[in-house]
Amino acid sequence: MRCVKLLILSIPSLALLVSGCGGNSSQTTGGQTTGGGQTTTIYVAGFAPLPTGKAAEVWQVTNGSSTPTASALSMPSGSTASETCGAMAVSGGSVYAAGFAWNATTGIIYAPVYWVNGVATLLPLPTGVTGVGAGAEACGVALSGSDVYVAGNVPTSTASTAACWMNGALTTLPTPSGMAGSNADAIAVSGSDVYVAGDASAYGINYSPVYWVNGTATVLPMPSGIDAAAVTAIAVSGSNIYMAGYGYTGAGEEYAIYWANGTTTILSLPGNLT
Amino acid sequence: MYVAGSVSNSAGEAIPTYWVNGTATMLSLPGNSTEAVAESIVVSGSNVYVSGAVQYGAGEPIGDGQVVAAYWVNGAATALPLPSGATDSYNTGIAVTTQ
Repeated sequence: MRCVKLLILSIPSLALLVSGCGGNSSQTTGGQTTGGGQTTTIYVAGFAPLPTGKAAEVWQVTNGSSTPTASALSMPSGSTASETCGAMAVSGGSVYAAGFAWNATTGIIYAPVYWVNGVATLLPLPTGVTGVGAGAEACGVALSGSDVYVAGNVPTSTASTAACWMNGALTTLPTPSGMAGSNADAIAVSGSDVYVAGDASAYGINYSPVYWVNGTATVLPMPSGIDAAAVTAIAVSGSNIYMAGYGYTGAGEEYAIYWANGTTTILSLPGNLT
Repeated sequence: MYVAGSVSNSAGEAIPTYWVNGTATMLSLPGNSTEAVAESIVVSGSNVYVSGAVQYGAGEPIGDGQVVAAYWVNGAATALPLPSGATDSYNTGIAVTTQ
């Protein structure tokens, strides 16, 4: 019998169910279980190609309504197109998304941006970085109290470097020893501790999964048989750090993998796929 | 721990999937769609919310046909309406509030 290969395709993301609070009477509304009298709103961030260029969007669905609404996020000053990237966040009635924007007429120069309730703010690049090819992106937003943390990537003189903006102020993250560049794809904040995750690579070698805690980089192990991997999601619960991502074998097969406190595991395939 | 992503079947079609503590569950496709990917997951109370994108029409890998952003609530799929003037849409993240 022929062996059927099954590949994990897309970029995994993760969530933690930390605890249930409340837990009084419940009801089912549009397939969701909610507390009595509660209103649940679902926000989905994304983008759509339009004749004028790609446009970042947020869809909103309230209480299982059958009529979701799409709202365009504002285009940053000087930009003609934008995309969202990575995780969004909602707190205190405000909706946060991250991404990047560019001007299609002056050249593809990506600029990192985040939106609060649809209003765009361009994020700063390292001092002295300008011009064509000076691409950058924001990819993931997390909140702690009134502070807004955005992860992303900025160009430097040698390579792309993972970065974090706290309330719009840029910090570039150190590239792990022996690596030439890095990317950030996810961010989580627990109290005052900032966790950023992504990957790093040296010229001509496979990329490795990496995370940073308050700016200190750690290269993560890869499961046996995986030659290259990247982290695409991170969550923190107490002192436990969970990450998810993907990895490739030397034969180019792609697998979803996760890390729990640094121990790595390939996620199993659904039971009826063998 | 909840993880969202996708697997592919022997035909190369993408199947949106999420894992709860390592156990995989494949998500259903909205009517008339041919394949889909999951990109993001959040859990609120006892509800699991996944967002991603579905594809209509022939084409593999995903992206060759019409792609539309979508979400799943406890496994039930809904394709999101296209913004005015768009023929495709893509998803990157999901968040949920309960008040």
